[in-house]
This record gives sequence, structure tokens and C-alpha cells, in this order.
Amino acid sequence: MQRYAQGDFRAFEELYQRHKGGLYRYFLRQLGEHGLAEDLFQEIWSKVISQAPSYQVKAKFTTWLYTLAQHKLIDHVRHIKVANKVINADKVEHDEDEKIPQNQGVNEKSPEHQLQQQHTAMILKHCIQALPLVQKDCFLLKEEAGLTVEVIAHVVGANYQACKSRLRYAYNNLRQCITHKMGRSSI
Amino acid sequence: MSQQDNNEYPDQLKISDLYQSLKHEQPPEAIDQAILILAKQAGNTTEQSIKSAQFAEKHQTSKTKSNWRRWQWPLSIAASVMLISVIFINQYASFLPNSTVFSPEEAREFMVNSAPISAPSAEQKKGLLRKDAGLEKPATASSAAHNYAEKQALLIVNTELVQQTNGGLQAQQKQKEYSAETLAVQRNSKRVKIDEMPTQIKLSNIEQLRQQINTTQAQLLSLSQQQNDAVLQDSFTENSGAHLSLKELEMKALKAQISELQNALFKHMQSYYQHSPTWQVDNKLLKLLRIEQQQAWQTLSKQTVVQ
Repeated sequence: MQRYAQGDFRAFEELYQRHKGGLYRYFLRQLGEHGLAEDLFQEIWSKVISQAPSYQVKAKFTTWLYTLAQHKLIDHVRHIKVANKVINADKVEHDEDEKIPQNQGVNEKSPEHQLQQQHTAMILKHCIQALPLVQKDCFLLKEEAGLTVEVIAHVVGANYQACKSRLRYAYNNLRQCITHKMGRSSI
Repeated sequence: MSQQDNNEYPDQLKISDLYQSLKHEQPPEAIDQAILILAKQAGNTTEQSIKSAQFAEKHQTSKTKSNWRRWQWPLSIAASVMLISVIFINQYASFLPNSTVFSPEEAREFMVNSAPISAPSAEQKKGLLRKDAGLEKPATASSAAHNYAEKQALLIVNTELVQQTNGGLQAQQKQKEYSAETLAVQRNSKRVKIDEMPTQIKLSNIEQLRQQINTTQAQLLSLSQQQNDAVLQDSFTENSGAHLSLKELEMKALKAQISELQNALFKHMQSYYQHSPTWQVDNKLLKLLRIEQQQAWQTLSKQTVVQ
């Protein structure tokens, strides 16, 4: 980032290629819409570019990037209604149509396995979407940005124990959600 | 970590692994290009701004200079005003009206403009008319001839009156001039002690005082003669008393003026004599002094005053 501030464009390109996927998916998983995710994604990188001259090395670039993203997301969520997408931590949707029979003993490389994989992915995405906002936020910062619990706490503005709890609840909910949809043996 | 956590931890790992296997969404290529182009443009601008910043740092002194130059004129004007104010305050005493010195010309002008010029009174005109015109009604002259003669006489009288008035005016003007000069001399005398004056100044003052005394005495004499004539001609008129009072006042003022001039003259003479004991005073000058002043001078200089 400092090299880019000095005028090295390739430094920025490298940064962008490294972080673009995770940031994009972060917005995508949170908002559930490609268009909206793209808008916020572009806004964040514009901000990174504009603040490059004044950038100071106080923390990792990843931390700074996802802090900007998290603030932008909060600002956006305040203006839209996402209550119908926020589900209570104890309540998990059940979709009988998505359940797949277990113990089919298929080959991993077979088309059937691939199909199963795709189906599992779809279910997981659905379950992530169903998570409460704060749990989803912590889960995505961990999985997409690779941040530790301490850094996640700093980004979201909460303490360490609260973040750890949110993560635990997030994984539990996902497990339950997937189990309900696919059966216990899937995980 | 608790037992529950241990049981859950493998699930977390599995979910995490499952999620990582899903990650394949990427932003559209168009957005990538747009962001990279923006970064490139901003990078060029940043390079220019860095150069500008370096240039600005290099010429930072000129900016401070321009700030100073902006305030150059107001500061200089303020400093000038302050300087003038300080000088004026320090020299304020010199500008007081009491310490102003009038030049003799200015005093003369003041006296001329302020003092009223007395015109010949009606009685004076009548007196002259009777005395000089000699108007008598001829016993046998015709009315036309009589009128003609009367007119001629009046013309003569008026001419004389005008001449006398002019002379009187001139005398009065001269008197005022000398009064102004006297005023200046007296002021100079008061301001600067006579003993501290240079000798040349003393001589000059003495000469001036002599002339003033002569003029004033002439005026007094003229006024006295006028008064006498008025007494003779108007002794039986109603306004004669008031007219005579005015004359007396004028004479009294002239006498006081002469007395002051004599005092000043005597002082100047004494002071000059102290510096120049061999000075021989002109008798005419001595006669201008009062009797007691003449005696005092005689005692001082052992010079006999020729009466």
C-alpha cells in the first residue's frame, strides 16, 4: 500500500488480486444480491485508492480493508430492510425438498458426487444467508478475510468474548441447518 | 477448551472446509478493469501531487513572503501613524495657543481689523462748517447765487473733512501698527528677558520704542486739539458731554500706552547701558522718558539731561 502511495501501480494490482474475491464474497453473502454487492465492492476500492496517499501502517491491510467494508455494510443496512432475511439463532428453516438421502456410497469423482457437492454448497449458502447479521459478519470475516478472533473483535467493535460467542453460534447454526437439510452424516 | 468445544471444533473445521470448497464467486471483469483504471489514474495524480508538494516545500519561503507582502502596506501605514502620534504628543506643548508668537505684521493686521475707526462726529462737521466755511447769508445775494456759494463751501468742507478723516484714519492706522509692534515688543520682552537679548536687538527695540512713543504722543496731541476745538464749538449742544467723555477715554488710553512704552524704553536703555557703559544717549531720546526716569538715568550714567 505504501508502495502504491509512492506511485507503484503494480503494488496496488497485487493487493487487488489478493483480496478482491474475499471482499466480493463478503458483500455477496451479507446482502444476497450481486448488484448490491458489486456497488459496495466498487465503493470500497475507490475509497482505498483515494486514501492511499494518507495511509499509515497502523495495522494489517486486511484489517483496514474489512473495517472499511464492515462500516460500509452497516451504513447500507441501516437504509434497507433485511429483517425478513435475519433469523433467530434458535430458529432454523427446514426445507424437506432439499434433503438428500444418506449413505448412497457414491464415488467422490463421479458426477453424482459433484452434483452432491453442488447441492451441499447451495444448502450452505442458504444456511449462511439465514444466519443473524452479527453471526454472519463474524463468520465471513473469519472465513473470507482469514482474521483472528481478536482482529474480528476490533473490526466489528465488540469485545473478544462476544466475538468468540458469535462465531460459536454461527457454526452451530450452520451445522444444524445443514443437518436438517441434508442429514447428520453430511458433516 | 471444554469438552463441548472439542466436540464442536471438528464440526467447525468441517464447516470451514466445506465453505472453503465453495468459494469461487469473483467480481465481474468489468468491475476489475474499472477499479484498476481508477487506481492507475489516481497513481499518476499522486505522482504529480508529490512533485507539487516537493516544489511547494522548496518554495515555502516565497509563500511566507507573500503573506508578509500582503500586510506590508497596512503595517507601514500603521507604523507611520503611530510615529506621528508620538511626535505630536511629545511636542504638544509647542502647539498651545498661548505660546504662539505673532509676527508684527500679524499683530498689526489684528489691530487694524479689530479696532473700530472713529468717524468725525456731526459736531465736528458742524464746527468745521462754521469755522472754516464761514457761511453767512448775504444780505443782498440772490437765492441762486447763495445756493451756489453754499454748495461750493460745502464741497470745500467735505474735501477738508475727507482729508482730515483720511489723515485721522491714517494716524489711527499708524497708531495701531505701532500698537501692534509695541505688543510684539512687549511680548518679546516678557517672553525673553531684556538682559538676555543680544545688544543689537536691544538697540533695535530702543529705536522702535522711540518711534512708538513719538507717534503716540503725536496722536495724543492731535486728540487734545480736537477735544479743545470741540469744547469751543459744541459747548452748548446737547451731546457735547458724551462726545467729550469719549475723547477723554481715548486720551487716557493713549497716555497709558505712552507710559508703558516709556517703561519699556527705560528698561531697554538700562540693560543696554550695562553691557555698553560708554553709550552716550541722545537727548531727544531722554526727553521721551518721564521726569523721574530721566533723573534715574542721570544718576545711573551721570549724564546730564539737557532740557
